[in-house]
Amino acid sequence: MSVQPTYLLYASCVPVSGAKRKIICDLQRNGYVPIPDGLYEILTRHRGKSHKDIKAAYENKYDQIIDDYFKMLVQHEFAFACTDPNLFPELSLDWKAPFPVFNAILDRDNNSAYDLRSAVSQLSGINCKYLQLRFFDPIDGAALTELLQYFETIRSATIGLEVLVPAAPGFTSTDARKLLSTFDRLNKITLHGSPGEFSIEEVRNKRFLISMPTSVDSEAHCGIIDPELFSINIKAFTEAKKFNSCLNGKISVDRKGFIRNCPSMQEDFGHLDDTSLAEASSHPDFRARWQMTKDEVNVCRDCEFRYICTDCRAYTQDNEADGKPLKCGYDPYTGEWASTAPSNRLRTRVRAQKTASSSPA
Amino acid sequence: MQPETTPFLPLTIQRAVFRPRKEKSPDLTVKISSSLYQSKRVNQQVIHRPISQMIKK
Amino acid sequence: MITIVSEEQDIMTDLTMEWLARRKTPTRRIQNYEPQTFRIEIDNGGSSAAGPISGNSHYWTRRGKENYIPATIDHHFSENLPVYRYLEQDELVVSSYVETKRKQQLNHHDTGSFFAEKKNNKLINLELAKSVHLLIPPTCVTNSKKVLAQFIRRHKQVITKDLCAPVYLPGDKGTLTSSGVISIGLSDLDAMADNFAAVFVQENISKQFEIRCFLFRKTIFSMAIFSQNDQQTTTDFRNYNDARPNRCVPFQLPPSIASKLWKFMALAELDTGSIDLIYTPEGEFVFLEVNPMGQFHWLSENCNYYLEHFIADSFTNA
Repeated sequence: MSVQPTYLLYASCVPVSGAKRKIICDLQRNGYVPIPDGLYEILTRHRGKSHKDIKAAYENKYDQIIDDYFKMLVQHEFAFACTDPNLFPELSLDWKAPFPVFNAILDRDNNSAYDLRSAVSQLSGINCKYLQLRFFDPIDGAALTELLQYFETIRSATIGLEVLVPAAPGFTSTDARKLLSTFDRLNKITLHGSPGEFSIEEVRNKRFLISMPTSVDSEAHCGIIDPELFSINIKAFTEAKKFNSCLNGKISVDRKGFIRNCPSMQEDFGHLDDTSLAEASSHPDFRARWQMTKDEVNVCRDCEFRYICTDCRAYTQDNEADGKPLKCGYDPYTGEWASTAPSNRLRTRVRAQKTASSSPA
Repeated sequence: MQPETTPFLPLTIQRAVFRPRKEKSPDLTVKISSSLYQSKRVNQQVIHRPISQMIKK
Repeated sequence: MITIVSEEQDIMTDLTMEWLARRKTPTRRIQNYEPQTFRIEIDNGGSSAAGPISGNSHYWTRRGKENYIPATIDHHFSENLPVYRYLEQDELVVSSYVETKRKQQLNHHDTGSFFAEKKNNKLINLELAKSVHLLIPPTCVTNSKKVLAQFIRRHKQVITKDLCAPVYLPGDKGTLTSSGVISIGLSDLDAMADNFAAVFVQENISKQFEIRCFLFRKTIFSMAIFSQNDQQTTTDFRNYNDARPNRCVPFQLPPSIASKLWKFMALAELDTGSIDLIYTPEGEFVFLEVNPMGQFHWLSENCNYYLEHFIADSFTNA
């Protein structure tokens, strides 16, 4: 007697249910596909049952549809047939990082007075691996070169560095290419306010120069929610299941030198002049911000994209701690993206916040 | 497909593949002097999600 | 002190170092090219040695071996000169002594071995696997065209692969590398002489999927690789398809097979290594080979195993 085949999703293909739509997240090949409700039910409630038993569970009323579903899943390499499903465990949802703080943002403009080298050296001291430097005002190429050399002298633990810098006569795409070719820990330079269209150039192996026409003149540009920015991989998915998919492991210093979870957050944890990054990042309230998963955020908890989407806790609906990101135009109850994000409301909110933060404490 | 050559015939049947020198090195290691890895060269690791979300086409 | 001997490009070493740093465990990384100073004295009163031998709580030979030849050798002799190879042979005597002593001293707080990698023999391993009742592909090694033709006629579907290490010949315009596992037939013999250098052939085992197991001290981690759907990788998953990578998923090895692998490892005197298996359409497991210093980062990452964490913990808890 031949054993009944069982169809299993490959472990890296994980079904996620939203209020209206269901998807399979393909964490190995970095994509997602929508699936019908009935198939979602088959893949979750009936996981591990033989093909025959699944058909029987629906009283053999939908045999043809079930056959077609699995034929399609096999054809597109989301599922495979096996005789012993016990040999194929589901993907572990473990997420681990050796050092609590692993990503950081340092913001600078013409008025920034905090000690950038101290910030960089402190980040290395807490083994922060990834750092983004965001310059809002034009800078001098020589100053940036000097800073990049500094990373070498301290043998920094920061191994992945991204720089956002305005395109300006003092710093052009030629300068950017030169830096990307010289400094190995530099992964990416984004020239904002560049003439011409948005473009991505691989200057050398995995080193990218991004030119974008939009000018980034403050932290208020952050928090965009868009399918383009989805992170569809095992690490991001498992992290989003347990932690906040933006703030987890993040620390930042804003333009004025205040230490925050991210530069757009209202609450600060001291100033770099008198508080160390290690101290600020150990504060229980600072760490509390890392914990809020998308399962706890209004609307997002009903969204099928909640484990592959990045979050934003700074600009939220009605300014609520558990509000949906303000710059998200997706409605999981209709399954549709709004053509324009609620940008007017955002601008008002940001202006109010700027006024608040610039008034004397 | 890569052009296959059989440079060792008639001495062996195992074939070797000739891979022309590429413009971009496939070598993922970079020279990073990092105290953490006690090494002058470490593998390039890339963060699994965006650090901030400002960049969009 | 935990010592790790590795290549500078090895990402698993980097990742494991991070966890050891997190635990604040004193760790020393020895790059395989960095010359090490050493002293070995043997006399009637006993013997004494200093250098990488002493002061370790755990020693992990991840990739390569310690280097005892000064870097300045390159200034005097090219790698291609016989004198270079002569010096290297002398160095092996030192390396072998150091490894033997270290294993005695550390009493199993020592993982991996350069000499295990060096003496790794595909033919002996197939016999060891057979002796613990693992299935193996029918195999032939010969330098005779006649014998090779007979084998191909008998087994119809036949593959060949490197008997030892892969070909790697860098040149000005590019590099010659092994083509990996390839199918061969009788027509391939036409261009061959009657006698040639050793050729390693095996019956092509059809597969549902391949299995890569990483064994480290007392634990096995396995991954199934579905390479059968992809023409580019049907014979060997190492003929990678970057755009559409093979499905790689966590796999739970049946206890009966796991116990045979451990018996094999004991006979092969290995405490770590990567084993390749085939799972046939009939549901049988077929042993292919073991790589004592194989890569396992891709296994760890695809299956979300965090092997770097497991390995670091196994050093600090041991």
